[in-house]
Amino acid sequence: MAKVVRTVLADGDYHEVACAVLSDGATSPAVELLELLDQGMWPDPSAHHFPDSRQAADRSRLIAEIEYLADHGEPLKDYDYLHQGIWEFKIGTLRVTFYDTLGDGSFTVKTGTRNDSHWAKRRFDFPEHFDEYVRLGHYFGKSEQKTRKSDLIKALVVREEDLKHDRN
Amino acid sequence: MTEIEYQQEAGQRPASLIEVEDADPLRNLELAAARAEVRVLHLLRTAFERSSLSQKELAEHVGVTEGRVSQVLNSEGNLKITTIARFLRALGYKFELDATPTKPNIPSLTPRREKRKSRRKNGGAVYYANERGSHKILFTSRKEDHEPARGNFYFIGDLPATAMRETANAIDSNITFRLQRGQQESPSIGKK
Repeated sequence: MAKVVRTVLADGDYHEVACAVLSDGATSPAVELLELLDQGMWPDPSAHHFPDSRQAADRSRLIAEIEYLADHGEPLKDYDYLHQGIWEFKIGTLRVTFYDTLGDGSFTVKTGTRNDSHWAKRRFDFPEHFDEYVRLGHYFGKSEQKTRKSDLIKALVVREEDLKHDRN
Repeated sequence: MTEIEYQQEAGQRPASLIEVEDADPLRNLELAAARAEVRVLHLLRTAFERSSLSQKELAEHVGVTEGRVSQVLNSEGNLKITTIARFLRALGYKFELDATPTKPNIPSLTPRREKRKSRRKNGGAVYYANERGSHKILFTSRKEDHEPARGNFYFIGDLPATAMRETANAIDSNITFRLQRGQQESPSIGKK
């Protein structure tokens, strides 16, 4: 399978963060999300009308958080561990999943450890040895307390389809 | 041709989206604002985590409610610059601002004039002490710090005499090293 070209968002001291690409070799959910945010048209469950003018600022905030991860080796705070080595950025009700890889199509699950003694309460300690390449995968809106199972599954599917491009 | 287009044409790695947006006048303002927000938050949270204070103690120090401390640490709303400075000071840090040019043709904001030299000349002093068999060199730039026991000093290290002399001179070229090994008394140094 031919390797695909991914949109690189940030190329920092610790990580290169890029957008995952689906099995068709062209569709990238994270690129799609950035375009929607740019137009204020991401279907935010908390928005009253569209286009939503707040979404441009959310887009910039997401990009700044991604840059922080690339430059510092860990996300700032607005993140959570989901499951099976998949993490998420949190910007308001928006969730964007991400995962790490060595860039050869492989990945190892690095589980998060919940640290309830931390001042921020629901803080997950971020693994020290997150692999060099980080990919943004699935995005969704979260209006309920728990992440929907369909979104958890979709996040795994996006990772699998994306990493397949890198395997020989 | 933009800098990024030039890089791409020159066969260098493709620019990242952040580099592209940093070069785009329609986008880089919003990105600069988001970056500032993220970095201030990083400063406040790191300072708080490295302090031994609880949120309650910090609230008492700053003179606000515990809820306000939580709001600030969780970045709920835009923070005033005075709030940031107060919180950092209460956590034991001095807040400093800096701005760097984004293009080579933008002038730097560093002062145009050189700092006055007399302040350093008058205050420069190096002390060389023999303590428990090791040799320590201490440096002060304050005029009033006549005695090692009373002054504010920077410890340079346990180094051979020559290296200490070189280190002292590197720190302040106005200082020369005159003390002998084992001497602890003042002022060891004359001015050049």
